[in-house]
Amino acid sequence: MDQMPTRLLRFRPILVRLHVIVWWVVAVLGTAMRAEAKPDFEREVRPILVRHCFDCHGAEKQKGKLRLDTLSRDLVTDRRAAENWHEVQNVLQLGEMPPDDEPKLPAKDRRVLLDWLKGSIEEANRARKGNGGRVVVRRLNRVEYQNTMRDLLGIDVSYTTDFPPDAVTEDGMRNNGSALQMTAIQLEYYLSAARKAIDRAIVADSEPPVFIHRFDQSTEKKWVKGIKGANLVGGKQEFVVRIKKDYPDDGVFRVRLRVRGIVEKEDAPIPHMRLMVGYRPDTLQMRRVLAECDLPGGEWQELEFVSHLANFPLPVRGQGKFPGLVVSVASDPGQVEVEWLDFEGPLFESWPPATHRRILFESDLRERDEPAYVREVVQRFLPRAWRRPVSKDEVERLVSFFKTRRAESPAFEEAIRETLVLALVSPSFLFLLEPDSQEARPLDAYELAARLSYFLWSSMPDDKLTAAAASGALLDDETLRAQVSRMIADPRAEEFVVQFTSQWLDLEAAERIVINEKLYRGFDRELVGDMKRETQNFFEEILRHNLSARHFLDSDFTMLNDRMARHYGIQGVRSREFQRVSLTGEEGVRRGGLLTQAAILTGASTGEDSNVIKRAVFLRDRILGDPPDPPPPNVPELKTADANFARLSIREQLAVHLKDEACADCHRGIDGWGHALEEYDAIGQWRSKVVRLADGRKKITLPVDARAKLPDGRELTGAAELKRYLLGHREEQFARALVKRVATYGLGRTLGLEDEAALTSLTGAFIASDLRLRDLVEALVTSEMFRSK
Amino acid sequence: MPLSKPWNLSRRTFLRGSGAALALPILECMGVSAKQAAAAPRRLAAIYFPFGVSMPPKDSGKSEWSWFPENEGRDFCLSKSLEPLEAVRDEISFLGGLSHPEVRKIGGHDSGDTFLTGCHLLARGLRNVQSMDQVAADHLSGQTRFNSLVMSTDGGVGEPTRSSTLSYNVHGRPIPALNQPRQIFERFFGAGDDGSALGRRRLQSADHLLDLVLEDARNVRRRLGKADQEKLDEYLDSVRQVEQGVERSQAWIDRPKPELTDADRERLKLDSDSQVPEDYISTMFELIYLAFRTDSTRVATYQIGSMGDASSLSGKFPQLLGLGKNLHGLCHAWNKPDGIEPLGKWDRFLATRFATFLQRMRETPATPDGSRSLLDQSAILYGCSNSTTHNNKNYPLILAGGKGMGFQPGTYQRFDDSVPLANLQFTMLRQAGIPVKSFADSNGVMPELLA
Repeated sequence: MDQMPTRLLRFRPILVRLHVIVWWVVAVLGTAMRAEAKPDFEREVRPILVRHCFDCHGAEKQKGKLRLDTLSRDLVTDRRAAENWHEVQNVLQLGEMPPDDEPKLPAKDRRVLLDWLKGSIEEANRARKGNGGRVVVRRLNRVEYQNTMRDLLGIDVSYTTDFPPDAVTEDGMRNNGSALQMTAIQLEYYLSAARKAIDRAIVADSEPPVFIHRFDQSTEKKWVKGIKGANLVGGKQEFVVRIKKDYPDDGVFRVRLRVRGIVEKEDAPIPHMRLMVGYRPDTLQMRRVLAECDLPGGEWQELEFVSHLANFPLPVRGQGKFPGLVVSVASDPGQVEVEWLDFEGPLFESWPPATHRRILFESDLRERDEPAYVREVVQRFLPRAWRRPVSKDEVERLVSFFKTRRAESPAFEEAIRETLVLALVSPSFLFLLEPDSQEARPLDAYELAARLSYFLWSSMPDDKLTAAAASGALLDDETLRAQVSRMIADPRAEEFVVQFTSQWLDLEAAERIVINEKLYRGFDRELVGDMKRETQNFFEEILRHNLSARHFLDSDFTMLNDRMARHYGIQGVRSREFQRVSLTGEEGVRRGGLLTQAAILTGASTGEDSNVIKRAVFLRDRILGDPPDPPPPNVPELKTADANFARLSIREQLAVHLKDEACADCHRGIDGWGHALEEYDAIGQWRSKVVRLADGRKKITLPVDARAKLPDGRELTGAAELKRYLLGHREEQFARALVKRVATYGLGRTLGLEDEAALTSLTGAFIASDLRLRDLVEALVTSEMFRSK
Repeated sequence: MPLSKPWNLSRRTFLRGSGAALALPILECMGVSAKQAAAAPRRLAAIYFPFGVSMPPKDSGKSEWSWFPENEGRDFCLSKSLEPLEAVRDEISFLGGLSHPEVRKIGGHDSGDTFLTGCHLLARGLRNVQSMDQVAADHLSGQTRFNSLVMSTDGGVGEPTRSSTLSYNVHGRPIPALNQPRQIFERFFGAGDDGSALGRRRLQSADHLLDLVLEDARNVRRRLGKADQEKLDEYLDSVRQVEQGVERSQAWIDRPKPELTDADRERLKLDSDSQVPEDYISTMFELIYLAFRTDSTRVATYQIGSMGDASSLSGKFPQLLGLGKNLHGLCHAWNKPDGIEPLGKWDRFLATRFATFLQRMRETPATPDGSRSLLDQSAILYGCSNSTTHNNKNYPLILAGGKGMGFQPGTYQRFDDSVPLANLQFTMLRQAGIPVKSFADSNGVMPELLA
């Protein structure tokens, strides 16, 4: 089992889905209606199963851990049976069962089975209607916590550095209510993160000194890693200034600079400036990028950038070889000229800063009647923090806590800080709560606002959305639609793009691959970031312009910057910034759709070569929504002691596996999908031959063989034919798979059998709208499934 | 490390504890002189790596890369794979043939979650049970500043069957592992501000605050549906545990965090991450060593890699070390002619780190008279839940240290299928002084390992 990918080996946790929904009532059983055309099991269905299925899924053998002869036919009360029969429906519909080497299932018999399955499943759905498909109370994940704190406090620093990574579900989601657990260590870090955040938001010190510096030239002639200081920046020359002592340790700062790009020739790359801050010699942490942008045109311009010092590695004062705050300007590609650079910080329009006054507003009440003032503060803060109106009792509890703390604290600020911290470790802040939900019910306007903003922004509702909730207008279809459009147009929707693409397509996979530099000389690790950005930008373009999701299967454009264009051998892209590029010509047509984007191809590679299985599993799981089954518990040993094994083509290597029936059973449904993508190497470049290291050193060359036999028996060659086939024959399956992913993400829960009807109706509408992506988001948000608990 | 004064848990804390399992050992500790309780502390650690080891087929001609030694008994011969452990051969026992019987029934790569729990994860709806280390941690609760140190390369909990933690609490819920060396260091050894006037007030405030939060959560819980209530229960348990932690911090308030020497600090690469496997894994081992030496905790687990393969940060370790394939691919090639040596080298790489750790432990006295080393006072389980990849029988296992706890290391012993691995874990718990009657599906101790 060489190169066996994770997905293939994964046990599909049907049981997880099971325990999500356990409380539907048996009472409805009696009222379950029989579907009209449902064939009789004993008389019509069973004989077919005996002829075609029980040999492998019966008393003797249970391939795929599935036994049908004893499987309960009561889909209403037996969830496990229901899931299994559903699986049977899937493989029949896809024509994957019975396998090629077994007698073919006559069309008439197939119809009988499918009718019975469809009828039984619908029956079970009806029986459960109104009880299933519930959103589980869900903890904010890292990203959501980070964005929420940023928006709540108005301070853009990292709040989640110490948080352990969040649990991920089998389908790659990181916002699943059941999977996101709460443990003591997490709560401990919630408490300390809240304290750090509130310490920063509520200032107790007097106005700090402000430092202002202007630099007309680099302060450093020579800098680390062979960098030379200069006003003309490019290559190893950078504009490097070091502020030795007179800089703030915390707070917002501003860098302004006067620069111009040097444009010598029209077709030369556009100069791309990078502004970087920070350097910690003690921990060898290097600087981070404050801003980067293209500088076309050649004329002088003044630019200004603002950020928070907490986001940059600052040295411990008085330690290390190069103490001080370092700001540097670099350019790649091209050259830029810097005339001067200003540093100013900490930046505040008045003292205390606005972020402080937003919470502790100016009022003489504070002097006159502290508890009354605090009551007012809490009344303003709590509804924002808890994303809903709060009761008088809830406010009073905090005020009373304040009073107790105040008696123990020397300063007012200390007591009010702890009071606000209390609000931020409460379940009402940390969880998306939708209470009173023993029975299914529509969401109230605030719950809907929260669900919506965590879907599209991974953050709390803003003032406009909250206002729409407060007036109740959000419950109207029209207002809701208008909010969705507004929110998708908002820059914060980038979080949906980044989070959803990352979870749907596992874009981090490319980062976990180590590219073998013996085979891919000069491969630049930074390119992996650009690969991800291509796919993210591609998704964003389709979403924002409400284009068809068919572009994910094949497209006549993609999003590239100069580096990615060079990687693909596409001419004419000069900018480091991503832009829409029409795909024409030989190189161009190879890049339409997601499947042949470098992030996907690299992520499903071995770092040396393509990984046929991983690519196939990616396609089946992420694109078609039909992940292959896990392997049996005891995978038989393979006879791979052939000394020549490493020299065999991947097809020949896989053929060794296929000799074993236990492997062949599954691999027939897998391998073909991956073979079709063999024209692309480990870093996603087009190749005319396969180059491999036979024994870790010696390069061997094999021809590219992209002939593929798909599970339904169809034969095709190469990615172009594969894409055509997917568009022609799998569009509906893809549409449904995408709908399911988007809904799973939007609802933050695993979808079950009882969601099938809603998914079918969404899929129908999606296809009717020509698979327009923004329409899908809108349809989901306005669906009953999204608007009810 | 003796305490300066007896510590008494407030009755309130103890009554709030989550059930009898937790309350009993605390009861035992109450009022006992700390010096007595802390006399020659005993420690437990478990180190795990995924996907199995090199076990070359007999006809491969490469038996020098076999993980298991040649010859049983005291005269075992280490192969190239584990040669680095020669220096500590008297401190380690190899155990062959062991596995968790329940776990034999599930997929090979689904077995990582249950290394320290032994249950049939799939039959239990992917709900795990309490892990061996946490059984010990709960019993030892309060005797050290931290109940346990739970670490992994990936951090967090991962997903069921692809867990990125070895440790599960009393409810069978995964405990998120820490994976940033600097964060772990700050937690265990950072100065913190508990001792300052503000820090003291904050501890007091936290106690009060958590009480209120608990009340809040109970109110919320009442208004939820059943599945949601389960989620809130996780929260309630967490609040209770943090409250106990706060009370413990108050008890420890006058004791500064342990001092480390400059030499200690130099060995730590706190900003290393999974891009630099040598530094990173060494630093994680060093953190266990320091936590034990300073008696900051007596229970530690470290999962060097998870079975998550494609989603695990450890997947690329072998590639970063120049061994060609990713970890999963490397282990799958165990029976291919050109796969044996790279896998053996990976085993050796891990063994080198482990050996250094054991040597550090051995060099450090753990009793005032110096007669016992830290290693003597620790029982350390090192191994994997696959022998060759996909095969979850015959776990490759080393039990290290424990001479001061009644163990007699220095042998290679093989057992048959009838001995559940839980017997070893039960024996470890017993020898660490944890008064349990059994662990998982254990049916007795393993006298063969004892002096």
